[in-house]
Amino acid sequence: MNEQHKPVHHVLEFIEQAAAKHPAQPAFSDCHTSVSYADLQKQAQTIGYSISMQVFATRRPIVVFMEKCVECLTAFFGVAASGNFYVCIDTAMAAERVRKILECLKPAAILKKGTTVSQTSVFAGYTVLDIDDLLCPHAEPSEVFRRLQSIRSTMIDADPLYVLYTSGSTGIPKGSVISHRSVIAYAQWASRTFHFDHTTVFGSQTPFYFSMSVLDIFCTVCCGASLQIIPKKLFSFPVKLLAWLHEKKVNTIYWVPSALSIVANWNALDYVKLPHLHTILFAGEVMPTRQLNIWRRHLPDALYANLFGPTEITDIGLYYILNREFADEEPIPIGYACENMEAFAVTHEGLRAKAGEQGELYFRGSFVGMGYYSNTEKTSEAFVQNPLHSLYPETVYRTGDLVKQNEQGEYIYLGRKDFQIKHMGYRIELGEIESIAAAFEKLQRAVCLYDPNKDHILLLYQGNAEKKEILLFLQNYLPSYMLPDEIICLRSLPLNSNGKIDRKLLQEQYVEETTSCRFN
Amino acid sequence: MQVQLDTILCLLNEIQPLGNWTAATPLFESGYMDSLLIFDRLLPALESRYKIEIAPWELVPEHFDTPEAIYRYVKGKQNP
Repeated sequence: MNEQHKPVHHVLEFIEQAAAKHPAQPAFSDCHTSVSYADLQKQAQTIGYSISMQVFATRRPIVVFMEKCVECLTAFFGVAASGNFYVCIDTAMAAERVRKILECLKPAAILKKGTTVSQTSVFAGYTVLDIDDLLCPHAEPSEVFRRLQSIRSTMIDADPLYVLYTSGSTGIPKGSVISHRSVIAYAQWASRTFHFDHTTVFGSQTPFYFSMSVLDIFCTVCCGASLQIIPKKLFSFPVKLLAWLHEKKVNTIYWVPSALSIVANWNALDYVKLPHLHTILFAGEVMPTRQLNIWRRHLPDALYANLFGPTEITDIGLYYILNREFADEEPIPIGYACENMEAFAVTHEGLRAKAGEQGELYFRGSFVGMGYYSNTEKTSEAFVQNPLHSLYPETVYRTGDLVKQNEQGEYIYLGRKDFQIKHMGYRIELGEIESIAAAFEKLQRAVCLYDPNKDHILLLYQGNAEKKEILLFLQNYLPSYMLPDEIICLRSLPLNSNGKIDRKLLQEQYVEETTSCRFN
Repeated sequence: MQVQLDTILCLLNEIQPLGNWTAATPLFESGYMDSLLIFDRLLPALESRYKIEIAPWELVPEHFDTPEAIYRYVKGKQNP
């Protein structure tokens, strides 16, 4: 069979192919180090062998608890080489949230780097391995090769590659399980569609515990390209950020709109020219057209694409390559389904929505994930039989997103069916914040609202507590991006006729005005 | 309003009450300040309270690494 058409079953095959073609090409770089494809392959094998000799199991979760760095990426591939799947957890995550995730996962091991781990107490009772120790195996290369080959021979492309955790409405995060097959299909589709190749240099913005990073990481290895990890601090200094992109010859970025908007709002593109940058992709939240137009005016020849989809379908299922002008107030479509994916909208009556008709978005196809880790209840709610037929079993993913198709057949995003929001690019269930707030004894009742105009999360409460106290409590359980931007004390929270908190009224009161005592 | 170090600390405390701000607290390494808080809250507040205009090229770590650095930067803008 022609090498070019040989099917890929395991993501390590991407690295092996790239290492064979361009061994010295830098695969991943950060501000401290860089790793070539040849070294990446060797290190992944070494880590994989070391894990396998300590864990003695395959298809088990291995937590990677490391800052965003080159070693973190090497660890992902090492875990994959060991026949297990990785779960990247934010090192700044609240200890209680880490504990909940670990209780759900029961990981075979936790990989960390160095001794500066704040959550050490949470790891008690688990096998904790240091990445630096794993890179020093006590075995002959032939033994490493033999053992890894033996593991690989038992694996198929439907085996899990990773689990990514997102917010859960009940207060417990949900872990989406994604297979090698889905990631391979996604990376190959994205590479073809956006013309990535070995000359592509990605400027990685999103954290590795966020699904957007899947494109950066796996398209890089799929094409033998290079990925530069952008220091997080630079996103507070737009002119410096662009100068850094130029210096590193970054030609492709896949960022959340908030990051692109900061650059546009501060006119940073007036000060730094970016002749290398030719591909600008965005997802995670609605891209404001006015800010996008600023980018388009400065880089008119670049390819711009709006990508859309949830973590449960690997990363995205719809995309729109901008091929016409948009007025500042016009929304950017979320476009068309990716190859070997179908997106369809279902009306309230359970019928396929026609053009112009609102419906809930469903996905079927290669990128659809396997479900939630150790959570059959939530899996059965979202991964459902195709509602358009019952002729044979066919699992599709129900997004909870409301969409419609315009006259051109492009999908347009309208909003959510539930209380899920997108804030700073992250998917958040307001119910999860409420659930944690309800556990604070000084709060009698609490409700969370979202102000899309300000992109603010509001916590309205009835009780006897101060803002700082509430924040201190919440930060023990929630990541910083889930902490409320405004905390409002009300004498009493209004109830509707069903005796539930009247969210609609509160939303109206907040937008109009409130007589409450604000701490802000 | 003439800038003082105390008022900068108060402002940071309003924006991020979890920060335990002192003159030397590293803004970014503290983990309590991110780019959205900087652009959404800190910069507009500095511009409106101290009647200054922050230029894009002035957004550099030297001016924003610590509360004291912010104080010196704003003071320099008010008294060029």
